[in-house]
Amino acid sequence: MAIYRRFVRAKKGMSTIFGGLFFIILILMGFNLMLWGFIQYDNYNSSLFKMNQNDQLATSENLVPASPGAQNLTSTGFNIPVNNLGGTTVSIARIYISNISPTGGTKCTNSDPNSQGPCVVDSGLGTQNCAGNGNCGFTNGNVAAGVINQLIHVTGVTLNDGSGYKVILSSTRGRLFSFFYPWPVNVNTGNPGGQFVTNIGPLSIYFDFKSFNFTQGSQTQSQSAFCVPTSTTMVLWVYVANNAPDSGVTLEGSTMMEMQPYSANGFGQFVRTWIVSPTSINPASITPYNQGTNPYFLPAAPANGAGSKTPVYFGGAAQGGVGGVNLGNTQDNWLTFMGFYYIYRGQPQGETIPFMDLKSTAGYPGTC
Amino acid sequence: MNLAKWAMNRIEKNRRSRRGISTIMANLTMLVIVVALSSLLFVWAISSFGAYQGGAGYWFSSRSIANQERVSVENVFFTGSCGTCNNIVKVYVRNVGTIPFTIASVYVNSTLFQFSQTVNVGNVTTTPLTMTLSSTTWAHNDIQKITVATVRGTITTTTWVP
Repeated sequence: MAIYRRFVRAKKGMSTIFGGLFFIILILMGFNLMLWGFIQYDNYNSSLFKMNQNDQLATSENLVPASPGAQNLTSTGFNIPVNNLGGTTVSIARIYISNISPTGGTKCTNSDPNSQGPCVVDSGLGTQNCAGNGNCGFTNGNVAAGVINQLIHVTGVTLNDGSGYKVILSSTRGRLFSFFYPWPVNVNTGNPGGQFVTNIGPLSIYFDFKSFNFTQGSQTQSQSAFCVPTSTTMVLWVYVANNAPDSGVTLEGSTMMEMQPYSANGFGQFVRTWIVSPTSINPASITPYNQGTNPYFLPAAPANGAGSKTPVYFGGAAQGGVGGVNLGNTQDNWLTFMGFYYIYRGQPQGETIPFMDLKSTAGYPGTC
Repeated sequence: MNLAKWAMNRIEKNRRSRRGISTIMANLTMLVIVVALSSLLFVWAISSFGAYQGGAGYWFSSRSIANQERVSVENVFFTGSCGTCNNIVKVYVRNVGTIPFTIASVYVNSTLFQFSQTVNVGNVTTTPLTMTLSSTTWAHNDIQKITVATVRGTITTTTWVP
């Protein structure tokens, strides 16, 4: 009753009530706007969070193809050994194979009518007849975290034709993992384990399986030269280091290599080759050796051992020449010697390295 | 008689009253000003809130959608239309996001090539994005910068060495 009387006698009129309502409406509109903003921002943040989680999963992928890159090579396929060193399962979505050194054919190049570009290998039965052997596909492409040496089986395309290939494994999260085939020679200058070294004079000559290599065509990755293809122009690589701490060593242009086939029944049936310039990594890039302008210079060794290994390229048809090394079409074993001539402490010196045997075969690399 | 007397008294009182027309006018003026300002405030608040909601809403929704795009440049194949012409670049793009996107343009280094190819979630471009370079060709062992842009403004830049 008292409240009613107070209300009846109140001096505040309708305008006050309307004013209050108006003010409350304005406040509510402001709150509503703030609430709407919070909701929008929350949606946006949840979207960001979800995509960030995906990104973190993608960055935690760490698939490492293992040497030799491709194994169990058959006429219709091969296996890719991989290790998953990351923290999440990796699913391979597609494999791209590009021929980066088409010395064995046009497969997986733009000239190949099947692939018209890189060979595209999709999961399962595949979608593209990339090499003319049926659809190129792969299986076993889901690699769980921590798995070592899982074999991804590829069908429809092979890599053992002598060309050099770049293989890219693409994951479903957008990460790329790649390797080259043939597997690049691992040069480890800090650890001589597994390397056969001959030390004569100031020079250390490495001619073990990893250090005596060759390239053909325009290959940039060398392969072991203990077995080489016949009728193929090559550049031979030999790794050399300087052991002498008191002087650098400059190779002379007369440094050469001589190979004699076992089937030879007389002198004169040799194949000889001389060193070419330090940039002549393959037959497509051979330039003559010029001791004056671009020599092989091996700096003096540091106090803790031999200096770093330097590849020396042989591919000259004569001293200061070019042309590459070609063992012809004779499938044979070749007894090989090298003569190194160099300038050490300002004095010309020479040494002949008793060497070893290499094999040439027409069915390289299958018949090595 | 009484009524006439009452009317005369009333007139006399009003004549002697100190309240003038100015008080009424002042009240009326204040009322008009308050109503006008309140209306202005209301209209301003409505329009401002609306504009804010419109702009912010568009920004949130467009950014939220664009943020779900993930472009993966899976492979770039460098080739040529002839033996020695290094003038063709083929780009393979995969959608690893959660919504479809449409590729609007691809830059090879700084050269623009325009496309309009939609890629669904998890898929790769049905045909590789093929670009024929005219003035500047690619070179072996040089770094080539490939940038892919979508219509929503997502940009992915990768580098490749032919």
